[in-house]
Amino acid sequence: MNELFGEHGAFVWISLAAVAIGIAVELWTLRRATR
Amino acid sequence: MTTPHPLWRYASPAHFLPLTGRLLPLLWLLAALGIGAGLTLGLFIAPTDAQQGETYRILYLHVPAAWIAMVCYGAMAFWALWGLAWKTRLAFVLMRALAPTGTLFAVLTLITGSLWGRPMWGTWWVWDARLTSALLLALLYVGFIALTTAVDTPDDPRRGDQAGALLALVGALNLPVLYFSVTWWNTLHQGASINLRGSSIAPQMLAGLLLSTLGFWAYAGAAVLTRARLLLQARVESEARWPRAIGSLA
Repeated sequence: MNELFGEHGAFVWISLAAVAIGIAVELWTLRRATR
Repeated sequence: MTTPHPLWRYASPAHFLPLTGRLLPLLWLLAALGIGAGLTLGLFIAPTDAQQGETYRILYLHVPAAWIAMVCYGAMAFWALWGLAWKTRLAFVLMRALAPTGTLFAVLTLITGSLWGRPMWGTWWVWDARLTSALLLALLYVGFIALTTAVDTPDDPRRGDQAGALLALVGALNLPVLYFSVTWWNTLHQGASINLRGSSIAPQMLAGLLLSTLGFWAYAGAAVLTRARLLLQARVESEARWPRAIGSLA
């Protein structure tokens, strides 16, 4: 993990995860409402 | 009676629904390509920053999120004003459709900003003008959703529309404070690196940032239009029930 984004790599990964989760939740709610 | 401007016809569901139906696949595709290419370039190809090291890569997420959160609220206020002035149903639908996506990006701005701040500033949070006005923006979004949901009645969204529109307009006063906070006050948050006069960052970094921003914009547009279609269809169906209900009373 640290090899890719250096000493503070975890902060970059958690940011990516937060964005991915946020978008996934929004897409899921939109998909559920569309059905 | 004067002829309405050709743009007005798009305020009708009969035009808005087919138009957005054609636009949405393009926006989803643009979102996937822009986010994919922008983040690949930004996270894996762009050079390491001389001062911030690898941690600066969080900005490929933070900066687009912050722009979207801010502009979505501006658009909400624009449609609120439009709806109050001309009473078009579509204006209030768009105002409401913007709120959840704006909330998502406002919260992501705070999370990613905090995750960047801890290793770079040595703190998760400071009460400086930029961060405080960004928090206020997120709270305004949440307040807007709470207010409209609380005021709505099952078959009449107009009270919720008007209450929400007022809050959207009053809350828009926060936008210039948020945008200019880094120049008006001496904040810990850095000033803008990109403006209309140019940019102060390396071309490869800039390309990644612009591509990911384009992708996130397309995503936000697609999500908002999808939600607007759902809200509009629900309203059209709800209004269609009225004549039937009145007919059954007669």
